[in-house]
Amino acid sequence: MNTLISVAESLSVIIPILLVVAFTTVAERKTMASMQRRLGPNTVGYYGLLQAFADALKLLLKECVSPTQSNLVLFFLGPIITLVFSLLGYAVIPFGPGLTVGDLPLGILYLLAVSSLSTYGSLRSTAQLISYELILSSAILLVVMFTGSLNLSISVEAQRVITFFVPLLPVFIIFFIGAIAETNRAPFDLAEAESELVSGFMTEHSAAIFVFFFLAEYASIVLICIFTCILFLSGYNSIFVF
Amino acid sequence: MSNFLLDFLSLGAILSGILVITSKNPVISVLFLISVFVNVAGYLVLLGIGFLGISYIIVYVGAIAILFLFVIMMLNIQLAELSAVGSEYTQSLPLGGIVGSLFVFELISILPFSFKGLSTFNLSSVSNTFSESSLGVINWFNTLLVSSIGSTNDVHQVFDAAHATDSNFTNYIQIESIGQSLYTYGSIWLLLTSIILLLAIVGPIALSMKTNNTDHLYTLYR
Repeated sequence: MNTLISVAESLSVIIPILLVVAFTTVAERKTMASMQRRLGPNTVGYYGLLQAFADALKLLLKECVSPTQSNLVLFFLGPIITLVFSLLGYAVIPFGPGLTVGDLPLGILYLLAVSSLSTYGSLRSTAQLISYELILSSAILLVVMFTGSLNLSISVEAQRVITFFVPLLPVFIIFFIGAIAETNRAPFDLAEAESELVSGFMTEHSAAIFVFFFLAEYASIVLICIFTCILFLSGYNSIFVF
Repeated sequence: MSNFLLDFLSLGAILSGILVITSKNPVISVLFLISVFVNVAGYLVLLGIGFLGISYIIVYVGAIAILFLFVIMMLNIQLAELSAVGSEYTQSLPLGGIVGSLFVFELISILPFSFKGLSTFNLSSVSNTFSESSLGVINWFNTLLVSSIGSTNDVHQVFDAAHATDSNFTNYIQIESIGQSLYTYGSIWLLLTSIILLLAIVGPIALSMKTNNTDHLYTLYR
């Protein structure tokens, strides 16, 4: 019975996260399209909202091609590692007062460890990741000095006095830039190289394995955004900021 | 439940360690080394020192194994030269046997193999620390082999007076307690290790710096 409850807890976090990832891809495509004065995906659902599910279905039904000279174990292990450790980071995020899958007293250290482990999925983006991890850790250390604890729920509750966005605005900007570098978004997306190659280091993976890379990238983007919100914008209490 | 997980983690660490040295592809070796680190980190978390386990992952997996991968990437290893067969493979076994038996001898002389007759207030002994962890299959096998205990029911869980709630004054989380002792009682060791780290940062830069001019001192201050 206990295992059933644990599995239900984990699933009730993972499935909404995957739905968020799906709709984030559509939102990004519509936003980029409106920046370029065109419509984005607008055929599949109402205003193109179901485009992500059409993409997922197409990718799952494609043929699985792998290079002949590649080491098949490593070829399939890379995306799997990236996806697993991107999703493992959601275990310590508080969605409400006390609503976490695991309320670790060392939650921030756990997030840093999980992000260290997920660098093995793609070595090309690793050099950038390692260099910006130092900046991210320094910014996190400043917030930890404010709250006095590494627990993420305490970090949210400590912002009832003042949101850390107000005294630590320069640190927030530095953390934000470091977060963009950490997830390989523009202007740090040299590792993906979308203007030179088709999709950077993910080009030769096809079908289901590409879905893993795709999900892992957007899941880590959403995770870093949630982490920024928890540390600087008072997490689930942020309704008082606005 | 944590009994079985301890067994899986220790068996996984041993198996990964063996596969590090016996696999042909060096990248696969590094991946099994990462697996050793993760298994040992999980073992440390289950023992109760969560900070040490997570910092194992951050430092070992996140920094040292990446360093190994970069070195392997730049070394241009030809895989055909690496596979050793026949007498080349077995000629290093006697040396391995000698070093391994030395290590096993050291371990046997430190670890306690019988739990009878432990005093409850001997707070600084090794036997008290080991009696608090849950026994797994490997420990059960050990006790079967070298001691006179018949089954694990004979082993008592020692009640540690330091964890009793009526004499517990403050509740530090792990980092606070490490910081409290490291920055006061261990402050000299902290300063020494920081000097060693500074040396490690400055040293390679000074050793590998190329100077074109013959006038060495002038170029440093230009």
